[in-house]
Amino acid sequence: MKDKTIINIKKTMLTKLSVLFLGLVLVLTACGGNENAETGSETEASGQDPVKLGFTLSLTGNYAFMGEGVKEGIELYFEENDYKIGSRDVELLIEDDGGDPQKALQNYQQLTMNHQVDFFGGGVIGSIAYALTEAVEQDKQVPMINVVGSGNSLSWEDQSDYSWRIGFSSIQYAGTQGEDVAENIGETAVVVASDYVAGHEIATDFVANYEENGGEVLDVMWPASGTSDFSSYLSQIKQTDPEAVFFFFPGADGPRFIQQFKDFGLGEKYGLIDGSSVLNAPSTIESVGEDVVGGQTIAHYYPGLENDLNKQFVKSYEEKYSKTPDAYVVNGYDTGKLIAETIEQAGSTNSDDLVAALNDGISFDSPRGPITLDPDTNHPTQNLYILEGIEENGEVSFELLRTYEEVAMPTENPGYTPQK
Amino acid sequence: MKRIILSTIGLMAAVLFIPVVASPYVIYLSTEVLIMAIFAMSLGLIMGFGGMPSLGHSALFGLGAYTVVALSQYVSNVYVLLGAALILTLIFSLITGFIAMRNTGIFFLMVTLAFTQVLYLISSGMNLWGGADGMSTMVRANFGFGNIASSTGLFYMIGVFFVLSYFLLKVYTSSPMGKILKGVMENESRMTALGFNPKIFKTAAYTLAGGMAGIAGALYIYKNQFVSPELFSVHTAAEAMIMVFIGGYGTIFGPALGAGAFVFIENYVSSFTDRWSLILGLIFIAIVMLKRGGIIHLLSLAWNSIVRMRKKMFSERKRNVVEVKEEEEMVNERITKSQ
Repeated sequence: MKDKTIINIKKTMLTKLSVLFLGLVLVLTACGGNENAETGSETEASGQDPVKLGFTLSLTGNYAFMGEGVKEGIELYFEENDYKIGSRDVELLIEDDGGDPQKALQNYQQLTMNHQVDFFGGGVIGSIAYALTEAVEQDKQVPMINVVGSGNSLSWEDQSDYSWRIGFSSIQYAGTQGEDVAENIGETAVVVASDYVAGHEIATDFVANYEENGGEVLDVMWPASGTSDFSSYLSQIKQTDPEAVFFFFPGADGPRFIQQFKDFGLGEKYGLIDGSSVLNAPSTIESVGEDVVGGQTIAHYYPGLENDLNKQFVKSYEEKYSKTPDAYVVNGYDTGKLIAETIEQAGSTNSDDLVAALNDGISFDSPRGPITLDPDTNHPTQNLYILEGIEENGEVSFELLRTYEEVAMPTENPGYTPQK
Repeated sequence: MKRIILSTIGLMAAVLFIPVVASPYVIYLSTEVLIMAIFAMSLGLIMGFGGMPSLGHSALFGLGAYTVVALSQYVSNVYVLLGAALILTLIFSLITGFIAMRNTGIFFLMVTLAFTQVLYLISSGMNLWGGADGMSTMVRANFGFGNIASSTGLFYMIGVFFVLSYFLLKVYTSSPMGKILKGVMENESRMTALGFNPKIFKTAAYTLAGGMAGIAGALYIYKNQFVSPELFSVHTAAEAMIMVFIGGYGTIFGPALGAGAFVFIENYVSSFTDRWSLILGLIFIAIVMLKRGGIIHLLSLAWNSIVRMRKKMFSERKRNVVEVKEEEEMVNERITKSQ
């Protein structure tokens, strides 16, 4: 207070400051004004209160590409349905958590306490899905759709009546791949997985299912996440000489591994099996191009899927965003559809009614094929597709090899020995 | 001392008053504000009074939080949990303080950042405590008179810690130890010449601030019931630093105001736009560029100018009165002359 510089401040400075703050306030009100105007016109259309849907998605930071996809999917669904569920208007409140579970929890509190949303969604990454599930379970106020989070235990030990998954789980993917590789690729495999919780979970599920179906895992390797040079692991693979190499490297590590695998000349020798959905990601194809050719991956959705709903979906998405939809967009789109179906079946937005409706087992047609939400696991039973990278006329694309129909989530933890 | 006690009582009254008028959501946010305020005030101590800009403060916050969650699997006694968090963070900050104190300025910043990064990598890479997925706990505070579960109860509990921290920091900075610390910041070689060992005073302040950040982290768990490695991220450390700057560098209460502004901006602006951090960034840049201090400085500035204006008006009125009197006298003189 007694600082001389501060006491001697000129009046001009004060005016400058106030102009600056005024400018900021104007910017804020301008932003807010738009949004209010939008929602205002929606609410006026009908006499009823709008249905409020709140989401916390990772729209900035490392996981923004996932969060953006989900957001686009949600918005596309409600746009196609004129922002209406039944006769009621829909109000979307989407908050950014930047991939930070602490921020996601704050957003959850804000959406439920301040905006009193009727339905909640979030969980672009595993840690956020866990944190939010714990929170909705404790509060028991509002049901939640877990938009991506794939941790198995959300369907087993940590299952909550209030949290429902729309994506896939580790065991649904890796378990199916274990079976598929043993039957179609070969009887010996090496597993290389990123050294953190999700990597351990995926490897555990793959190894157990592979061995159950007659395969033999020769070696399991754990490069740290962020590894840029895989040569020591690759030469170890060469020495072990397996028939298949199963890898799990989400994020930027994946494309690097694929590229180095090809550079080492292992592509012709061993089947490359991707357990982390990076092989067919548009960003991977962009950065490593034809190196993905010959590799196999698993998906619950791919844009080339042959069904009418998907054709329509791809068309309207391309019209709106001028790019090809990925699995995250479908997750978002189905989140919208699931919420609409649940509210229509429940006939109200009372949380007990919503949870009861979800527990009846909701099924609907998605661009990914028919899905049913299994009330035993709060997880969708869905088709899974084994894809292979091919090159046609200089363009890389993915071809459907095999379809596993109506793959359900195991109702109980099979208790595999964890891979460490 | 009298002023300190008075301001503490004022603060206490404010904390008592908030839940009476605020909506549940505002109480929830205010709880967050108080926790962040303790955290920011502790950083404000070493930054504004010790000249030690630390990016390692989130390490202590996270360590306090992790201690509570890890131990809550075995014990639920709040005294044990908070005590353990305090002791552990004190020890950690004492050790890291000794190492970091060998550097100043940007090097100090980098060394403390390294501690944070080490903890971040350990917590996300290990299979203990949920790894990268984080971990939740069901623990509730019970000080011997029932579980504190309601949001108002939680607010008051954290309010007590907040007022205590404020009082402690006020006493510390006005004590000889605090004065020496400030002396070291302003002119280290002179203080050495006077016979003080600057490292001892700096490390003491660093340790005290560390323990306080640890308590803030521990309290955070009672509100959020969840830890994840993000607590150790550079992001958390930088947020606290921004709170200090927005609120007012070199004061005790400033960082607490900064925490309040930060949390409310974050939560309200984010309803309007995804790019709320841009708005916050602009405010931060404005505050740094204008070099007029943070919110607390601006407030006192406004207060001072009001006081000055009133003084001016008062003296003008006085002058007017004097002028009128003089005129009267002149008139009287003329009258007497003419007579």
